[in-house]
Amino acid sequence: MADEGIYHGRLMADGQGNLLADESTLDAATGDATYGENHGKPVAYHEGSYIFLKKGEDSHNKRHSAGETLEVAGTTDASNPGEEHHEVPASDDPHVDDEGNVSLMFDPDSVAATVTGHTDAYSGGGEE
Amino acid sequence: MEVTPSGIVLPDLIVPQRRLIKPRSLWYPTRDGLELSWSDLPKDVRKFYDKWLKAPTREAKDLVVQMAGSMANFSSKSMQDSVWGKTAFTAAVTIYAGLWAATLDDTLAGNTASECAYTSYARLALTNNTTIFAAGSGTTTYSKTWPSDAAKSWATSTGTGTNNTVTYLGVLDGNAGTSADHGYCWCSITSTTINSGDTPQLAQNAVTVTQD
Repeated sequence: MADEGIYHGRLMADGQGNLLADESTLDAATGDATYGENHGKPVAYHEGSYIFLKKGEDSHNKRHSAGETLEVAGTTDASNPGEEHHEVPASDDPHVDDEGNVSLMFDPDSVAATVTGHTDAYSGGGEE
Repeated sequence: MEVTPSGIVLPDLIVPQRRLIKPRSLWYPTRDGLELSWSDLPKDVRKFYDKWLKAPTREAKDLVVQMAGSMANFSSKSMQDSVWGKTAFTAAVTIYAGLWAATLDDTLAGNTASECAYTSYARLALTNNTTIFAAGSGTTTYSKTWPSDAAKSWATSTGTGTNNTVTYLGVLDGNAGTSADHGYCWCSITSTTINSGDTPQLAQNAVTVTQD
């Protein structure tokens, strides 16, 4: 926490459209996880920051849900519109080289940890 | 998981020689074969084959290639090492489902580039228990379907951010966002653009992992 009431760190979704602080650290060898003191506490996006929610305050979803609930569904058949990547990756896919071979790109860990799923990735991010 | 044919040998009961089984084509049951065993098949398997046989005739590959995802290298290795050699595998306490705007494959890890980053995006945390990952069904083909208890939503978007048109779902054992997060499985999803105010959701029983 940089400031009182503001969360800084990894985020996770709770399954209900809300955000929780994620301060878990996984021990790859044993599979055990250790947790920081704020792990699992509800947070919400608020004016460019992520704030801890107090009891009775509106959840992240309640504050910001104004659009659709979009179902994340599996592809069906490559012949259907929007499903072309069911069998063959799109030609403009960044993980596909000029010859059509799939080769995933990986960010350095120091970068990857904060480019998505982290409050730093969205700091100052406006509501568009 | 696939078993490579080169590792299967015929028993040498009569003639003391070993022959490798070499596949000449994809293996799939014939209609006649299914009729013979129909009454012995579980209901869900009968339903699957019924749908398959009644599918419109297209090129053969459209009928056979139905896989749009795979177990990742880490989970495949972990299962094999557990069965063969009894190397203990401890599954993650929490499993995380993420969205990607680029192709995934079996090398999936927590630092795979092009992960969705709409403002307020975070991986979906799923407690690894039998409420969310209930027992599967089938014998010759075993299928696990999840989330078993209810639909699960990612956090509501508060801005376009980057990589907000998602085409792949990846499942990992951690949320560090680094290579320390191991891939469990991945699959393609219908291209979905997530705008501010939208809430992406995984329907109940949306994901099926099949193993024969």
